[in-house]
Amino acid sequence: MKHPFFTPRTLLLPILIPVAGFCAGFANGFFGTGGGILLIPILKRIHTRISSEDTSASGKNAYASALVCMIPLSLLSLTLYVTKGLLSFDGAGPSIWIPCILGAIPGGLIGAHLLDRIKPKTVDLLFTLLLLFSGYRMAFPS
Amino acid sequence: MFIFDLFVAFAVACLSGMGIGGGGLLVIWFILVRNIPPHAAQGLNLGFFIVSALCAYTHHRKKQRIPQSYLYTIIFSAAAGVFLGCNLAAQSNPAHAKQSFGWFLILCGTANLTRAVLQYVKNRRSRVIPKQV
Repeated sequence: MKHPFFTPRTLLLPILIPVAGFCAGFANGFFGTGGGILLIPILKRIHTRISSEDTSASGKNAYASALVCMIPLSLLSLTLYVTKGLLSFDGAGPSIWIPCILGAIPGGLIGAHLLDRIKPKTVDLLFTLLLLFSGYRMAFPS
Repeated sequence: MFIFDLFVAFAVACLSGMGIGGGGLLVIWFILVRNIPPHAAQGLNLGFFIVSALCAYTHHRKKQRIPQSYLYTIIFSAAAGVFLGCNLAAQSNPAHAKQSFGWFLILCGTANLTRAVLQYVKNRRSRVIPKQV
């Protein structure tokens, strides 16, 4: 894949990329969630600018890239939250986390395969619905 | 209950593996159905995401969906953001800011949905009305 960084279409990218990363990280650290949600639309724009592929492939690549970016960030957030005492695992015994891990491994793999198979518009719609759902949960905490 | 937990975890992991994220669905399941304290539910959700995302990463990497050119820039700048955000969250109460952020997400979601519906209507119209020569 070719990445022509210094063309009129991509001139602002060296500024946009670190700013986008910082905002996503800040949201994740401050709110405990929302980093990936911010990152996906920005990465989609970046991908369509630097990629020579068709838009559907670059859109899917944006979802995959956001996922990969979120792994170290979630790990860092988890570590910082636990060390600062903002998060704990008290009350969550093996009867909870064993089925979670057993579901997470095949689910993650099948989800990644699904991204190849379903239409980009369906992925976008699912993302929008989850965006609204996350927003509702944050705006109306019960 | 084991089977239900497994099924919910699997369904949310599918969404996470696609890169869409679970939207905190698992946290709601833990709190409302399993009566787990919110802090523990959020911790479990983060740990769960890391496991499912690592599994999905193996596939995305094989399919060469992840360009390396800017990935590290994003990760390092985001790490700085996480440090600042965590420290600010520990010193202040982010409840009000979180609510505002929620409204921002609702606004973005509504804009996305409106755009998609308008696009759909436009496509249908162009299919129904024959082109005039």
